[in-house]
Formats: sequence, structure tokens, C-alpha cells
Amino acid sequence: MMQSASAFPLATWMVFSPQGLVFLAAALAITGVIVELIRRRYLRESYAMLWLAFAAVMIVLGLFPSLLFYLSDNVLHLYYLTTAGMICFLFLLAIILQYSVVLSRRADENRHMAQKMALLEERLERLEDSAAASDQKGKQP
Amino acid sequence: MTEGAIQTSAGPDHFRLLVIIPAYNEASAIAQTIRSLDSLPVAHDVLVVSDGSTDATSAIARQAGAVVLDLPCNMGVGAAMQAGYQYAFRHDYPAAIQFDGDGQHRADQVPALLAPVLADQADLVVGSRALAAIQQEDYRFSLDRRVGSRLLAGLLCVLLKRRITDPTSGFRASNRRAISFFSRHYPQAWLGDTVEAMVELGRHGYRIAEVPTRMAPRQGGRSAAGTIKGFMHTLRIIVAVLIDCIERKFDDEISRGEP
Repeated sequence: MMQSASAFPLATWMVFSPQGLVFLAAALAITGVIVELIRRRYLRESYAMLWLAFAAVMIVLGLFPSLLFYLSDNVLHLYYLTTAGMICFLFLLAIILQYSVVLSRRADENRHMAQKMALLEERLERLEDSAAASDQKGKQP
Repeated sequence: MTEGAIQTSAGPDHFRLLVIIPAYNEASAIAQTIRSLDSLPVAHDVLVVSDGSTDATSAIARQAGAVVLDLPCNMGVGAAMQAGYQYAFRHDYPAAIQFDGDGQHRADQVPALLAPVLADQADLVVGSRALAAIQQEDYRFSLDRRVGSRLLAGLLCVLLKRRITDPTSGFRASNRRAISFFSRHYPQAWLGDTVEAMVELGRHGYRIAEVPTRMAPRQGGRSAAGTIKGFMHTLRIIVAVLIDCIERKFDDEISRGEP
């Protein structure tokens, strides 16, 4: 490991091409939007986690494009754009899956609340009726 | 069918049946349905669960003497039925009947449906049209419904290891144990809830029985019409049932050790 680190010093990992700079700028912009949404409380922590992880990976790849090339050539044996697309795709998949889970839970919670509400409403009406009845009984004699 | 006296272990004085009618925009038929239940030879209350109806269903049902639960929005028949079972559980009813609001189910068939529950031979009793179809000429499944019903019945036979002839029948009776189960867990899939309810009960060790039942022909209303639509509907229920089978059993059932 040490050898490979000395063979590829940090500077060589950070070789920027024009496309790489565009990529980095996009990554920073996305991160900015996510952070701003969190700051304004439009995006809650539990949902922000995956987005932040996505932004972090984008920034790391933007700063060290060679990491993407290394990963593509030596680990995955894919074209580097395919690797980038795959990473994006996996993140989006994870985020959508999370939404499906959250949505299912929400549907359950909504149903429980609606049922509870209907049951309480029926009870309230019954109580009001009996209260009105006992009121009248009290007035009559 | 013994009309009149119905024997229960608790004695007729203590026994009170809840008839649950899920209704979605049934204003035209609901009053007649509720009135038809007056002839029941057993002490009972009628509960109409209006599933977010936008017509006068709730008002008419209340006027006809039923207790009404009003769901704030349309959530599907499964949610309505579950609300009914929650009411039954909360008010300690020993048994509940599930009854359609559109006039398809017949009050004179209730005693036969209730008998296995009262005799404690089953936790859930399903009224089967197919079992009665041999004697009955006035009710006929259309072809796609017959095929779909057969498919589902076959699947249930394998899963529950017992003969099921009419899995989509919504005419059913539950005892206290089944009421308790349904009040906590009731399947929510669109229209497949009757099938899934049987699967869920069966998986958790409850006893299911079928009795032959006659029904009036359906008077319009929502029905899975068309062969392809009917087939897709069946397929959807099959997938929902298979999903049920891979779901973990409910923890509260295991800790209760029920039934």
C-alpha cells in the first residue's frame, strides 16, 4: 500500500481536465443546494443522509478524478463514464427505495389515524347525545 | 337452519352480534340493507363504516338506526373493515359479521354462517357461494371470475392445507379471537383483502371454516369486469398473497401465544 501511495502521490491523483472541473463544479453546486435545504429545515436529517453521502462521493470523485479512472480500469474494468453513471444510479436507487419504505410506513400511519379519528368521532357523538339527553331530563321535572 | 333460538355458551342474554357493513357511496342501497337485518333472530347492532363516502351514506345509515364510523377519506375496503373490527374489539363483541352494503348478502343466511363460530368450531367462517352453487340457479360466476376464483382457491388450498371454495366471498363471521387479530392486522391490498385475510389468519394458526351461502345477484356497483381486467386482478391478488407468505409473522401474535 505504501508503495502504491508513493508511486501515485496526491498531486497525480488530482489531475484536472476541463470536464473534471465541470464535474467538480456540479458536485459542489449539488452539495450547496442540499446543505441549504437542510439549513432551512426543508430537508430532514433522516432523508438528508443519503443525499449528503451522494454529494460527498461526487466531491471526492471531482477532487480526485484519477480515483474514478483507477476504479474503472483496475477494479471494475469499465469505461469511467459507466462507473460514474453506475454510482449515480445506485445512489438514486437507494434513495427511491428509502422513499418507498417511508411511504409505506406513512400509509399505515395515515390509516391508523383515520380509523382512530372515526372511532373517536363516533364516541364523541354518543357522549354528546347522552349529555343532551341527561340535560333535558334534568330540566323537565 | 334453526330460525329463532340461537344457543351460545354465554347464554342468549349476554350474546350480542356486531354486523359490520363497509360502505362507499351506497346511499341508494344502505337503508334497505340495514332494514333487512331487522329480521335477524339474534341480538345485534349494525355498524356502517363509511369509507369516505361523498354522498348521504352516513346520514341515511344513521337515520336507519345504525352506528356509523366515518373515515375522513377513501382508504379502501380493508381500512374500513379494520376500523369495524377495531370498534367490535373495543366494545367487546363476542362475534362480528362482515356484510356487504349493496344488497348482495342475505340476512337469512346469517344464522348458518354464525353457527360454527357459536359452536367454537372455527375462528373465521366464510360463506361460500361455490358450495351452494350446486343447489342454486340464481347465482352464476362469469367465466373469468370462475377461473380466477379457482386459481385463488387452489392457491389457498395449498397454503392453508384445507379445502377453500370461495376465497373472494366477503360474507364472513369472526369470533373474538379473529376480531382481535383483524383489529390489529388487516390486509390492505385493493379488493384482495378477503383472500389475504384468510391467508394471514391461517398462517397464524387460526381455524377457518366454510359454509354454503346463497347470495342475491350483484346489483351493479364496482366489480372486476372484463376478462383481462379480471385476470390482472387475480394475478395481483396472487402476488399479494405470495408477498404475505414471505412476511415475518406478527410479533404480538407470537408473544400472545394465540389462539
